[in-house]
Amino acid sequence: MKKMLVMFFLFCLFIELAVGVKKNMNPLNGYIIHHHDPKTGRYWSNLILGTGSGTFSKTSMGTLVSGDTIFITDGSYTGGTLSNLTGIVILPLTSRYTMTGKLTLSTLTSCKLKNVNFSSITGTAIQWGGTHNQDDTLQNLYGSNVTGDFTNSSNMGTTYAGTTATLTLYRTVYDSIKLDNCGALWLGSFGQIFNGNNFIDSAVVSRIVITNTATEGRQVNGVFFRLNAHDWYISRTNTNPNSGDVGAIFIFGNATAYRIYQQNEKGYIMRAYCATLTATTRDVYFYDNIKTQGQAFGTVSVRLDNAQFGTYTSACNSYILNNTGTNNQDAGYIAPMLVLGSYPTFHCYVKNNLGINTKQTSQASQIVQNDSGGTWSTSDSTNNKYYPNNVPLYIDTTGTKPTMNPIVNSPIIGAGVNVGLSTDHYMRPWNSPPSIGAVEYFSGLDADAKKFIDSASITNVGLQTAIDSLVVQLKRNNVWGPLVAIYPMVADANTSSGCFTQMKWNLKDPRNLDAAFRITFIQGTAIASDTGIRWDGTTSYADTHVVPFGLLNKDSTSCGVYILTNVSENRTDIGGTYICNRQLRVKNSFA
Amino acid sequence: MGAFNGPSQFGFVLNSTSAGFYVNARIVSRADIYKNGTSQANTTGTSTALQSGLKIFIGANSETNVAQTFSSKQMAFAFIGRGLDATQTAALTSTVNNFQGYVETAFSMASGTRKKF
Repeated sequence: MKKMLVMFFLFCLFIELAVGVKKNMNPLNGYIIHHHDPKTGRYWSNLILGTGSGTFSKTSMGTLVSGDTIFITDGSYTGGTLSNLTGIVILPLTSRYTMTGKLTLSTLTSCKLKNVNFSSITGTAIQWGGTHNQDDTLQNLYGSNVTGDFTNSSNMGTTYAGTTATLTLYRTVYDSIKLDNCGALWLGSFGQIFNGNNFIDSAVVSRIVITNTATEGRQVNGVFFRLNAHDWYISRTNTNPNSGDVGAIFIFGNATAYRIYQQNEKGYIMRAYCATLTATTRDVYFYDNIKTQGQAFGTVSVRLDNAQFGTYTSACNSYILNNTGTNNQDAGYIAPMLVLGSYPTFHCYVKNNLGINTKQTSQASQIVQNDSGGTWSTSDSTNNKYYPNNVPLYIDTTGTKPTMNPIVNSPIIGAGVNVGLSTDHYMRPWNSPPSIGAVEYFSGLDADAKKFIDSASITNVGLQTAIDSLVVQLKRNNVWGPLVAIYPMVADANTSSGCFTQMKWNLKDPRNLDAAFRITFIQGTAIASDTGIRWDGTTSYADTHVVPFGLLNKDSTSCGVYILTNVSENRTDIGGTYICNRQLRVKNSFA
Repeated sequence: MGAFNGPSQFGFVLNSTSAGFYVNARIVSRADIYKNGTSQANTTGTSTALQSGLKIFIGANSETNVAQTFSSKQMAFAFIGRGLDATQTAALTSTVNNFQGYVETAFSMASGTRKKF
């Protein structure tokens, strides 16, 4: 650690000599480094905050401006406060720091908090405060053994008056968060819509991994509108001692929830008292989700409750499409695919859902437990399938995390109706007509994708699926044929050199030959990671060995590149030239 | 932000931000530059001959097979091929964007967070 800090200070000294740096001591246990790059004329500041222990605090912008960065010194902190900030990115100074006490975030606008561990905290890990926060992102967070809620915005108390300013949180993103033995991921409010406060709108909660929650199953709870929840994996290694008729998504409002896998846990994946902000009317969508080995309660529950509708809210429809529930137990309660509450005059569409071996002792129906009191038309529930057991094999339920892939010749293959979904639980395209359940029939990796995966030694199953999908979609879209070299630049190795080795392969011809257009890297100080290659700007490049002459017709050529970073430089990203005769090239030139 | 087998400045337009998916494509006399699936410019003119033995580099320009004008950007996908029309370019852009999303999700779901070296 000390060595890294020394290197950082030496780097700052270098920057000071090179581009003109002014350091100002900051009264808030940190110091600011001001930078000016004479080449670009740009000014910016970095605030180094924290000493590696105790607490840290930044409660006003001070001399910071939007676009600046706060770096938290690595270490372990018993508490922290970040408030009244706009457009600030908060990062660890080098790798990560650990919070062992509450971090308060208050009155933040367009701020990003990234790469933080929260460990062994009694009570809440992240407390939202102030009256309104918007356009903020929490990303790459890891929580373990947090006895309270991981994040809590339930006591802000802002009364909703029909404006975004009276939302407690607006356009907030939670992304790439992993929790072990923690409370709810996000307690938005204790109350309901009719309480009139703590409304949250336009939230994204994506790429969430939760193990052994300390709750009865709740993860996102409160008054949420336009909640976009996707790509979650919730699992448990023991019996949940808590019990409650709740959902991992337990909301009063509306949501789109998809690609959520819940295994051996209590509660629904989603339980929604469906309502919409009248000014921004949206319906409820629940699709491509899997619940298996559930300890109690169904997969999804929706209802309309007149008490939730008033000045700003009204009722909405629901769509329960292409979900799978298998081997779920009811523990004396219930366990169907859908529990449908009162639904006067509005529609709940229930199609292409698959249930297998669900214990539902007190109710007959395994797909829709209709508790609507006659206010729902069952004509909207065609094309669902239920089998009391998985014999003969309909889907693959083997392994520690069953894939639920349909087995060859399964009657669910192609048995669904087109409902407008593009991809399944694994982001593979749905066929037309689609299969029943959350997973489309998959006969194996595309042969070209498999050759590439084998050559590059890619073991991450999700990455294999991504490559397979890339090949399938290129072929379906008639783009595979015209391309002679495709470099996906993906890797799952643990070192930069290992990633370079995996990124050299040409997807069209993954042989280890120049003639196959396998890349020869001149690495220099470039860095390869699971987020691509960052070139060093001085010596590094990739020799593709592609010679367009004799390979392409001069009247039919193309090249392209996917760039992740904004760098204002007049440099070439891909190409070849001969004196002033431009051959193929993408060169970024800036106004 | 583009160039083709044509004279200097042929198929050229200034850029404002570098992040995005770029496709440069020539079909017969027309050359198009796309960024994120949207056409930025097109130019019409006779193509020049492809240069014998000239290789294509990524991350730098191959000036007669000598690397120059090195990039310092971060990249995650590249391709070379025959000419693509607007429909193919739109499909390729959509496919590559989907792919980037799948890759992001693959790592996040595997470890909860992504690696960076």
